[in-house]
Amino acid sequence: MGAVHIRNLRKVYRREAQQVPVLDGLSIDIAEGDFVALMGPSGSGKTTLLNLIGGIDQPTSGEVVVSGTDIGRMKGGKLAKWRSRNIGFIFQLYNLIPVLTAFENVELPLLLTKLSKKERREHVMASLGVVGLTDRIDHYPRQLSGGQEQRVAIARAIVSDPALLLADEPTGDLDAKSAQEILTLLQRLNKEFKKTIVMVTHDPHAAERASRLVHLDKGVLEATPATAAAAR
Amino acid sequence: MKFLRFIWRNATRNKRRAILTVISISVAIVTICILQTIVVAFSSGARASDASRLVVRNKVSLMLPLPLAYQQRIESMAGVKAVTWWDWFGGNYQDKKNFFAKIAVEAESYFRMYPEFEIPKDQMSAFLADRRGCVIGQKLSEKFGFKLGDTVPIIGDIYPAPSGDTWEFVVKAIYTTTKIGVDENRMFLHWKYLDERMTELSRGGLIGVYTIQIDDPSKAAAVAKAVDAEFENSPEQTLTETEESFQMDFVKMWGNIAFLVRVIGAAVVFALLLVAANTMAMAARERTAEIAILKTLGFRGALLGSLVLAESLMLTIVGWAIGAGLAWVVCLGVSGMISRFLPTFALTLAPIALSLVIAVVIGAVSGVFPALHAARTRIVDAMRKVA
Ligand SMILES: Nc1ncnc2c1ncn2[C@@H]1O[C@H](COP(=O)(O)OP(=O)(O)O)[C@@H](O)[C@H]1O
Ligand SMILES: [Mg+2]
Repeated sequence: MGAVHIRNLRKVYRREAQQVPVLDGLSIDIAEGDFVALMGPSGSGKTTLLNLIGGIDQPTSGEVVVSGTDIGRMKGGKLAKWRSRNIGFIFQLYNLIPVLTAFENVELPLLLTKLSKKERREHVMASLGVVGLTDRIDHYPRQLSGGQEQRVAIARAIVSDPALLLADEPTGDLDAKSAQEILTLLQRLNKEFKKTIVMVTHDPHAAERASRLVHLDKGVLEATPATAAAAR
Repeated sequence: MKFLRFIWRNATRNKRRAILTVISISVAIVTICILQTIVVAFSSGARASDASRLVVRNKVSLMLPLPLAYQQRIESMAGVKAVTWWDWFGGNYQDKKNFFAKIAVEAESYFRMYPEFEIPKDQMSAFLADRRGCVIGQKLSEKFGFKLGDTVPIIGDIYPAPSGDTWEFVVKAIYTTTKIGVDENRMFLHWKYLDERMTELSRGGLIGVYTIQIDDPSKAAAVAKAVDAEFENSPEQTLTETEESFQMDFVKMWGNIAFLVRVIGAAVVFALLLVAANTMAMAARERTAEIAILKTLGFRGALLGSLVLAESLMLTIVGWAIGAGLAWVVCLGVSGMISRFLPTFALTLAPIALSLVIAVVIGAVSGVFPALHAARTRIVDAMRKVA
């Protein structure tokens, strides 16, 4: 579970009359339990790739198989359901719903399941325990620091126990110390909880925490030698 | 409903906007309820009227009398089943503020023709046996504490009293009613007692208005025409109309109030719609990024749309509940003050139900576009806009 298999992936955006190819015949395999850092200049298509893997965008052509499911052909409601069970998302910004407490934010994905209130509570508390925020359950996002907010977002991403976590510049908006904490947490989720992780980042230090580094440039993956990070 | 709290938090996320919206809805609902109540009160007299009864009055003015001599001539006309007559007595009980209608009636024929005034048999005989007797409504008896056998002094104005300036009537009967729109605040006295006094003053043999019972309500217009034709060349010409339009003559004094009220009501509803729609549109637009996040988590468009719609309904229904409560309090407070003009003024279920329908429709209409917007938001587009 959590493995990603991509073949000849193309994504073309239409801007007015023009066709803008963002991903152009991209192929990559990500093994179960891998922690991949995805780097590349701005506009190179990193977010687009992540969105395609996560099933919140649809490929123009090509094959996207995640955890054994070909999601390129899935649509609407079915895709939404699949996503809620198989993928955890962590974004750079605007992750949390401001009118809900940390607890309620983490609980959100579980509201779509048949779990009882008591079971939901257990799952939420377990997730918040993993990110070390059980003492902040009744805090609203504005009462949390940036790093804490991001940890709540991670707790929410893992609460329904998906095999694959997708993080789009999760430390992009944080100070160095908080960023370190988040990266340590992601590493732990990878090692201890066996989550497969794909993380987009601009920060080479962040990338070092991953076990594999992939460069994307102009929609094409650059052959990357086994990185120093992987050796470490 | 596990989303109820989430909906509530969203609805109240901008406190000032939520409060202002709810207040404007409440105010509008109060207005609608009260206006509607006024309309109902105005038309209740007409509703209490009977299609088989015609009213014959002096053509020149309602204030001018008709000769008693017309009675036999009307009675003998085709299509007429019975005739009675009555007169507005005027007068005051102690003070002008204690207003209630006092009507001098030809007792036997009047109560036969108006069975909606329900009087126990023994009380009726007691009333008929005493020319100084009177019949009062249940509510009137409660209001002033009049009991059977009490003497009620009425200061005469239109009709001077036999001695001094006060008429005295003895309560012989109390009527109740089960017919909607019939007023239980009236006093009936004997026209013949009044006429005795007027004869002393050489003004006898005059009555205020005749009421005719007809055989066939569908012939009302023809009978009315025939009656007026009968007295065409008499010194006092008549104007005959159905009881309903006769009642409406009173209402016309107020202009076409019902129409005005509806126009105002419609304007209020429209203004309200704008307020609610604006609130919801702003709320949904601000939340585009959050909607994208929720979709990413697996929330379907239909669910998100329903949540937005529910939020809109929550605001209007809370506003309605407050408004309806206020209207109830206001109507209770006001009904005492205006019972003089509108004796049947009371908030009924109908305006409350109507205003609930209005609140729900406004909530739905103002929520539907934001709901569709939420349902249709595409995650990638929404994320790009905010990033
Ligand atoms: N929905 C879209 N419509 C049009 N163009 C888009 C859309 N999404 C992304 N693009 C374009 O695709 C390119 C890659 O975007 P993105 O994947 O966000 O890059 P990155 O995350 O690497 O900065 C950019 O040129 C961007 O303008
Ligand atoms: Mg990006």
